[in-house]
Amino acid sequence: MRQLVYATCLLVLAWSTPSQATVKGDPFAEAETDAFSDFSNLEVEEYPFQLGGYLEFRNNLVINDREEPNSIRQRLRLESKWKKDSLSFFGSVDADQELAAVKWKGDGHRTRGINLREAYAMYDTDHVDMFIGRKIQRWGTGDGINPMDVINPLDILDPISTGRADNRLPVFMTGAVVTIEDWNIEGVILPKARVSDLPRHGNPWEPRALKQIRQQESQGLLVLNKADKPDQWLTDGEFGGRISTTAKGWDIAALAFHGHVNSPVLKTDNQGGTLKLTPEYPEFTAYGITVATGLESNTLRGEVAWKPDYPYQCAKTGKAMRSDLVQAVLGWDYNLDSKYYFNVQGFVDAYGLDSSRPYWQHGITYEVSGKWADDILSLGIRGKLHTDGEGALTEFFTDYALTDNWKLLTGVMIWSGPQGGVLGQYDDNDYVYVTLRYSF
Amino acid sequence: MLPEGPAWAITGRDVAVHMDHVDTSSCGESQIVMLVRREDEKLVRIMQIKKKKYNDSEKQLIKFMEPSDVRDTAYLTWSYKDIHKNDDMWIYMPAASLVRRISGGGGKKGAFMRSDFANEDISKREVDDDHHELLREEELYNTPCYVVAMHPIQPEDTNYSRRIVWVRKDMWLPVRVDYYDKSDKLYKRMIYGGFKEIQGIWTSTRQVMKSLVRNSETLLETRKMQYETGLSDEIFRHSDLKR
Repeated sequence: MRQLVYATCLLVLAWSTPSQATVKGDPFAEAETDAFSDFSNLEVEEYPFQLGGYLEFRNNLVINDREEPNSIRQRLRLESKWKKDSLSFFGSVDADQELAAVKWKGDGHRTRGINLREAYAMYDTDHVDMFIGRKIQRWGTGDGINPMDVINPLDILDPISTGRADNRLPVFMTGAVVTIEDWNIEGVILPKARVSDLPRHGNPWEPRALKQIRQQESQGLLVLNKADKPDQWLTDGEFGGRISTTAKGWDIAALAFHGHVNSPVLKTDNQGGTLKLTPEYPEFTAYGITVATGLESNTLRGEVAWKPDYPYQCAKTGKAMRSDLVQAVLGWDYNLDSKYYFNVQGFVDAYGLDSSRPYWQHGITYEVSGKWADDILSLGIRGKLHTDGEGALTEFFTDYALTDNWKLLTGVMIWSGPQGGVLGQYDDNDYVYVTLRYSF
Repeated sequence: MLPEGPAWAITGRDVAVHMDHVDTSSCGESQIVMLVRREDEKLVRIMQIKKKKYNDSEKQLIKFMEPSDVRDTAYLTWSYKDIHKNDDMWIYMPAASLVRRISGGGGKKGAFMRSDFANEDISKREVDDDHHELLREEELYNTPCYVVAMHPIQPEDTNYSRRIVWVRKDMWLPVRVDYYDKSDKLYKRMIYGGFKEIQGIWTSTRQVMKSLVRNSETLLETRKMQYETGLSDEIFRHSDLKR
């Protein structure tokens, strides 16, 4: 009797799955074709834990000084992700070997090390997302110049990402995003600020002014004290918030942030007849608005930031000062059939608009690039040009996809302008780069 | 000229409307596996797709799992039924921890991840995007089909001067599409198959796009297709784009 029940059940099952049976006139029915036989080994299961990353060989060879390379770095980056239901974790770590460091002037340069990058946990629900850990948090809409990207400091060991973008370091923070109808309200708290160190003497990215200060220190003309970094948990914390929405095709956000400047200003003290300089990271507050929209093949982006009583180093007097700072970025890019790409962005920083002698910095960033050979090869030029006379950075680049996993990135970076300029000071750093990367 | 009679009471637009109504779901998610065969090369692309329909739009989230250098990269698109309204589109780039607004229009004609599919081939095409002309009825793969010519209303937005579509009469799904370039030469051919009825919705789970001007084809398989999965509105926000 039981066997009869089983047999009946099997029969019912066989009849109740007609959708999996071959459909008449199906050119790719499983029983009729082997066209998809290559798919049998392409099973992809989503495991709760995933591991990936890349192995990179980077060679930045200085054009004017072949004896002192800018960078000969091997990097193994491991990235791991774990996800279960609403909870997830992401972590990344770099194992670096910088062979060029042995050639740099000065001493104490790190030639190898293991560096934790991001490591954070997230808890996502429909209306509230929360996170805690070391993270890079980007709030800007501009390309490479983001007045409101003030949370993560610049990586002073490796500050240049491309000709028009920089590298940032992750910071420990916690935050949440609350969604209410069409609005997102986001808050972050950094229990302790993380700021950019001063580059060591001999590092290729040591600013010219800092080199001169260190020379004067070696001559006994002044004392450069140890940096007074914000290193107290909670008392040296930072916090910020953002409210954003998308309306009629425009992404609009209002932001506010209070924290410490990421690059130091030098406080001077002349007591006792010896000039003493102390790098400090004063507090500041920033308010901003970002917008972005797409119009057919064009994209427009803009950012405005107001930083009242902002601390900075006066280029003329060398003194630490404070004045209101207004920053604005307006960018346009155009994508022609996914083959050619054009991007131009103007930026302006205005210090002390309320004073009798306001100080301006301004310029443009740009990119013109194209893809060829079935999108395997990308060629282009991109860079940053200070129209205020502070110099320019120009990059000619080629990206070649050897395979899906192997990429060859080559190009040349050229700094130009006056030796005291923001970009002109790195005139000696012009380099050719060849980077080979294997992703896994 | 089409012959008169009851069999021709249907118009090309009627066929397109029927095709548009096949997927009656409000949302769905699937895994797409793509294999590009080009001379000695075999390229694999794997992605997750989530979709949700609204009164005036459809929102789609594509997240890449392979190749490894674009893993976790995500595209979010809001496509509007009003063909005069620009799509809203964002990309999440995990290496830069960056969500970036991109133009919905400029990339449509480009190749999708170096495959034989253009970006526009994998985007939803609204009925009002084309003029439709019923050419004939004929059998293809031993199945009765309507053959409809679809001419773009905004030809500047597409690679193609027209598409000829063979539509199965029994399930209103395409079984073949011939793509003609701007000089009206046959350029690509897509064959649909792997027809399955999933949760009451007829679905093509296998497609092959063959380039007729070079030795290249792309196979696409839809896996783990599930309709009505109750996707929340929040995952289709650019603020929610993350790893």
